[in-house]
This record gives sequence, structure tokens and C-alpha cells, in this order.
Amino acid sequence: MTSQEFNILVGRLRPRLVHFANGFVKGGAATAEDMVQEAVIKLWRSNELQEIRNPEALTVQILKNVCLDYIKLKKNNMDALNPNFRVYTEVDPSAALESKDEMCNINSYLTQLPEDQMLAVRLRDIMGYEMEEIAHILGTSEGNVRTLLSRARQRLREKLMSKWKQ
Amino acid sequence: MKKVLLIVLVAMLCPYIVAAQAKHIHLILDKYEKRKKVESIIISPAVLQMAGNGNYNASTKELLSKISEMRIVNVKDGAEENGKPLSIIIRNDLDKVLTGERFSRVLKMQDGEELLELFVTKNEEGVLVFLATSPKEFAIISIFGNIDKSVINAVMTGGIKVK
Amino acid sequence: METIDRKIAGDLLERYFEAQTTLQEEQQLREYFSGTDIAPEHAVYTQMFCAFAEERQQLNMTDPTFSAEDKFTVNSNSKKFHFRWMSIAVAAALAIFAFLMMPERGDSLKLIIDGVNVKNRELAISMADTQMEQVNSMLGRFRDGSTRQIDNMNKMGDALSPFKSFNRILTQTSATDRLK
Repeated sequence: MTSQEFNILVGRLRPRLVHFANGFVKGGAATAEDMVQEAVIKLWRSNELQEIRNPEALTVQILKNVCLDYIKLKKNNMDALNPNFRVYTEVDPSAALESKDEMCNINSYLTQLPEDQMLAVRLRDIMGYEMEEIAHILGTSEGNVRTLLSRARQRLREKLMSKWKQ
Repeated sequence: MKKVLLIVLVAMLCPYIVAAQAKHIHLILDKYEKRKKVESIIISPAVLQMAGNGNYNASTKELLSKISEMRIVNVKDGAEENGKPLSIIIRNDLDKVLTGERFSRVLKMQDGEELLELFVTKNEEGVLVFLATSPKEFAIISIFGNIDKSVINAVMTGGIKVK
Repeated sequence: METIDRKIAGDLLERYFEAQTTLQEEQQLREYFSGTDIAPEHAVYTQMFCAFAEERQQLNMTDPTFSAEDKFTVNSNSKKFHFRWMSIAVAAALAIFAFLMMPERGDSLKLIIDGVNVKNRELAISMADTQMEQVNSMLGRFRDGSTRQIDNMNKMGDALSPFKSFNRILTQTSATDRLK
């Protein structure tokens, strides 16, 4: 793939990628735009580009970089805030905000999930990727993706149920 | 669309079916021209000049127009491939084509250790091949084009000269 | 894709939460929830599936030519596109091939020694000349040889001539004998 081809392709894919990243990157140090840009640059510098033959593979590869960076970033930030553990309970600020704000949407539930679970749900239910592809993007096994996904979905189900009963 | 494409294809392939023999020779020469201890020269008619001894001057232009290319591959003694002399390998390859029914041997002359053979395509498809074998080298001199009697004649009488 | 009934939806939902559904089944679920015939016990999930469906739609709008939803149709489209251009590409490739492979190579002159391209017109010509000289000299010897052969034939003819005259005499004598 030449740099020109790469640029054209990325240009075409960018809105979609940014849209995806926008789903979970909320302001802060890195915006969705930045994350995608960084992932693209990283990919361009890597040797993986030689093996990429179609736009779909390119998307997956960029997503992989976005997701892994996001997980790393999130982890680092979280570690700084909560050195020993992470909390995803009602005391979570966003959850508190959400319960106050009656405008509960699925996105707010998703943000309360651990990032890998959240990404698995987004990649599957919104991006529509196969388990295998998600495993590749998240750098894990297919079995692990299923576990992540089922846990995430169960959690969403619980949320919905509890909300429904109110 | 498909029809047009097919016609274009057939039209384009036609010259190759006709010039299949020339192609065979070209392929063999292409295969070996870049080996070590091998010299390859391709000369177009613009460069090629026929200097006859008076008799041919008049028909020089005509002869020139009939020849499209001259190609010489010279395999020096000692050129080898997998321990086998390259000249023998090429000779085997050429024999497959030259001993086919489309070629005929016009001449074979042995003079001491030197052997000169001349093969020409029977049906004017346009290849004339000299094989010159000597202890020092094995040379393939091929002339492509409309090889008719006048060309063969010119060649046989030493009418084709470079320079 | 046909819409599924409540019972199937129930089964699919259970498998969905176990992450055992296929992409196609998940699409069926989204369609089920976008419809009107939803079982009361499923109503709780409507929000989620509709949100996903909406997100997907938004995502697809970001690039109508390339979307996850239309993954397969888009692929086939791009294939058609390729086919159309392929014919032109093939024709172009053939033209280039024809140009390269035609016996006529224009005013070209090429010299390769030991696998190295040498751009030296004079050297190429002198080498070709040497080669032709060798052939011509052999041909010359052949011609000399053949003239010697012809000479021999003539000598032989000369040698045979006494017999010819003898024969002539014989025929003459036989003719005169007959006359007698």
C-alpha cells in the first residue's frame, strides 16, 4: 500500500472511526479525533501495513490501535486515581450523575462497564464485527471475547431490569 | 462489452499464434541471457546494416525491411548451471524447438572442432537460427522477421554483416 | 430478513446474553425490537436494542459506501466495480505485453554481459560483427568446400568424357551397322 492509497483510504474510513471512538472517549486528554489520528500514524509507521489488503482490514487495524491505546490510557488514569482497585458501582460519579439525570441511555450504562467489556459490546453490537475480528482488535482470544461480551450484556441486562422496576 | 473485449483479445493474440516459433526462441534466449559468462546482443534493423559485395547493395534495403531483429547469445566455455555446462542445457532447450516440424535444418557443417548449423522456419514465420559450436563457445545467432529465400540466400552468401 | 416471533426472540435473547448468538441472529433481534409485536417480558430490552440499532444507523451514515451493516453488499459492489475496471486493466496490460513482446523492438540495441546490462553501442556492434564474421567465415569455408566439390564433379565429368566419346563412337558404329 502506497502512502497515497493509505491516505485516501484513511480519509474515507476516518468518519466512521471517529464516530466509534466518540462513543467512549469523552474529552479529557485525548479526544476521539486525536485517538484515531494517533492510531493511524502508529499504523503507518508499523510493518503491519504491508499485510493489509483491504479497507476492512485497515479499519480493524486502526481500531485495534485505538482500543488498545484507550485501555492503556484508561488504566493509567485509573491507576493514578485508584491505586489498588477500580470501582464500577453506584458510587461511580457517572452513575450517580446518570441516576440523577433521568435521561438514561444505553451509552451511560456502557461507560460504566470495564473498558474491555465496553469495547467488546461496541465492536459487536454497534460495529457488527465477528468474534474473531474483535479478538484480533482487543488482542485476546475468541473465548475471552465471548466471556467479556456475555458479562457485559448480563450487566446491561441487570441495569435495565433494575431501571425497569423503578 | 464482453464481445468487444474478446475481439480485442483475439486480435492481440493473433500475432503470437503466428509468431509462436519466434516466441519460443525468444523465450529460451530470454531465459539464459543474463547468466554469468553469457553475452547477449539484441540489434534492431536500424542498427543492423547489410553490406553486400555489390550484388546486394540494390536489395539491401529490401532485406533490411524483412528483418525485424537480430539476436545473438554467446555462451562462453565454463558457463555452468548445477555443474552442467550451460551450452548443453541451452542446446537441449533449443533442440526441443528446432527439431520440431516447423523448423528445418538448412545447413550443417563440421570443420574440425567447429560446428555450424542453420535452422529456418519452414513456413515463413520468421526465424533463422545459426548455432555455432566450438570448444571456446556456443553461439546462437538468430534473425527474426520475414525470412524468405532472399534472406536465406543473403545469409548463406555472407551478405549479412554488422557495421 | 423475516421477523421472528416472540418465542424465537426469547430463545435468541437468552443466547444473546450468553454471547452465543451470531451476527445474523443479533440483527434479527434488533429487527424484532424495532417492530410492534414485542412480548411484555421483553419490553425491558427494547431500549437497548433500539439504541444499538440507532447507533449503527448513525455509524453507517458517516460513510454510506462502507458500513458494517452492508458489509457483504458493499463487498460485492466493490467487486462489480473491480470487474468493470478489470476488463480495461486487462486490455491495457495486454497492450503493454504486446508492446514488450512483439518481435519488433524498435531501434533498440541491448547488450548483456555476464548478466549486466552494458550500454555501449559500439561494443555491442563490434561484438555482433565479430560473431557474424565467424559465421560468415565458416560459411565461406563451406562455399569454398562446395566449389571444391563442384570442381571435383567437373573433374569427374572430364574423367567420364572418354567414356562418353567412346559411347558416341559405339552408338555411331551400331547405327552404321544397322544401315548396312
